[in-house]
Amino acid sequence: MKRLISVILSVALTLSLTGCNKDDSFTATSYLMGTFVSSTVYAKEDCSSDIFTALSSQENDVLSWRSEQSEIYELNQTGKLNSDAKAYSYIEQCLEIAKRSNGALDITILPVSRLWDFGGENERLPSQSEIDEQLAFVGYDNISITAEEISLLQGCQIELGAVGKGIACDVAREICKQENVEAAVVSVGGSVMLYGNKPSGDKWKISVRHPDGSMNDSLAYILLDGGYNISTSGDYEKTFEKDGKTYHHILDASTGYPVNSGLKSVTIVSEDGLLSDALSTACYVLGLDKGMELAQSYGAMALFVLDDNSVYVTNDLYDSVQMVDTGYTLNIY
Amino acid sequence: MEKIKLFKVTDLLIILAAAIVSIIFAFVWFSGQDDTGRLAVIEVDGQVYKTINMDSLEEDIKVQIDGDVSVTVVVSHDSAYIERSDCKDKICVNTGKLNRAGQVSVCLPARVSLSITQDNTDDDNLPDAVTG
Repeated sequence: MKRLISVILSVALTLSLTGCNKDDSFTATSYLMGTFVSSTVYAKEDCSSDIFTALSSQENDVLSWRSEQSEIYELNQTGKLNSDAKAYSYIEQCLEIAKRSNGALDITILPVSRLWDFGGENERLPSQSEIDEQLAFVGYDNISITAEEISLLQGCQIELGAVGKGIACDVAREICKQENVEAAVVSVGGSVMLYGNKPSGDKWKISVRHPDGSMNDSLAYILLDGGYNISTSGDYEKTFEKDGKTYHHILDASTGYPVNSGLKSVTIVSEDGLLSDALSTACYVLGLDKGMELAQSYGAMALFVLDDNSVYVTNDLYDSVQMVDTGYTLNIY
Repeated sequence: MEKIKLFKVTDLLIILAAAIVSIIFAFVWFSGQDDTGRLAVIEVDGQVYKTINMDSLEEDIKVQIDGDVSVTVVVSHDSAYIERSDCKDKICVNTGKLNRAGQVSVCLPARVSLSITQDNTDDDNLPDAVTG
């Protein structure tokens, strides 16, 4: 008996000194949805490949207007999409946001954005006549939706680029749920999905990219519990210069030109990935006052960075924000 | 009065042996924790292409990654960066030098990423993700 006690004591001593292992986590990267994707999963088994496979399928079979097997490609070719398609609910949600934002989010911008081809091989400044010609096909009211199907007016084309990364975040969250993951953080380009709480007990720490710096320069940190998605739209993404002027990729559907709304970037925090991505674009287009009104009408938390280096946040986000660049002033809207 | 012996000599030897094993394990574990060495990790298409221990470098290392879009990475004792790329936008080159764990430079057209990991001294301060 005494020997048994001594053996138990010995084993306990050994374990007490060596059992303080770190939480199991797996990190992986890939290139999907036209961007860099990274995932860190806290779980007994790594499910990164399941996440990446699901995102790849979502891109090729549903979202990409370039992929000939996708639902959006079919819709653009035939002008019709049945309500049992996955893209149906995405388009339905986008139309609702388009109406509430008065067209600040417009998924029919493709004929014009294709002229600019930001980030593509034929990136260029289109002529006014080219823009005018294609603007005739732009407008969310060119989409009609019934309980059975979506149909497009002749010439109208759909592009879900403004919400694709947010949708990818929602897909990644579903995989994490199915795989009983304890916690995960998945980044699809600049959109981030937080699943569960960090095993360390700390809040998730999200760096808001500095609009005047590179992706490694932080303007601020946002500290959050799990369950949120964070998306940012900014004038520093996908830009080119022509005759000394910089053009960025967020287009105003009413003019066909890059938006100038007095903002450098907008970050949205929401429990819905599609919504956070859609609102970051719509709020950027609308500017501070109308954008804040829209974000708050959806109950989303928001951080607006203005051209004058002031930062405005919704009241419910203020305590979660830590400024890194103190040259920018933080205010509650 | 009878003297009660709680442990025999062999019991004490077992405990002593366990303690020694524990100390060895603890030494290995905590010496790993104290390692603040930074690793420059180059990935191509999501797969690790090369990992370089920056602390051990006395001279710069150039890594050439050939493909449809070729990229040159430079790793030194203090920093790592994408020096050159055939890509059009040069976002990767303009990202500049990385010198802290958690920093990443990505060349999307080449599907090449460069990151610094394992700087244990900074772990608590690192962001979990970047939005932007």
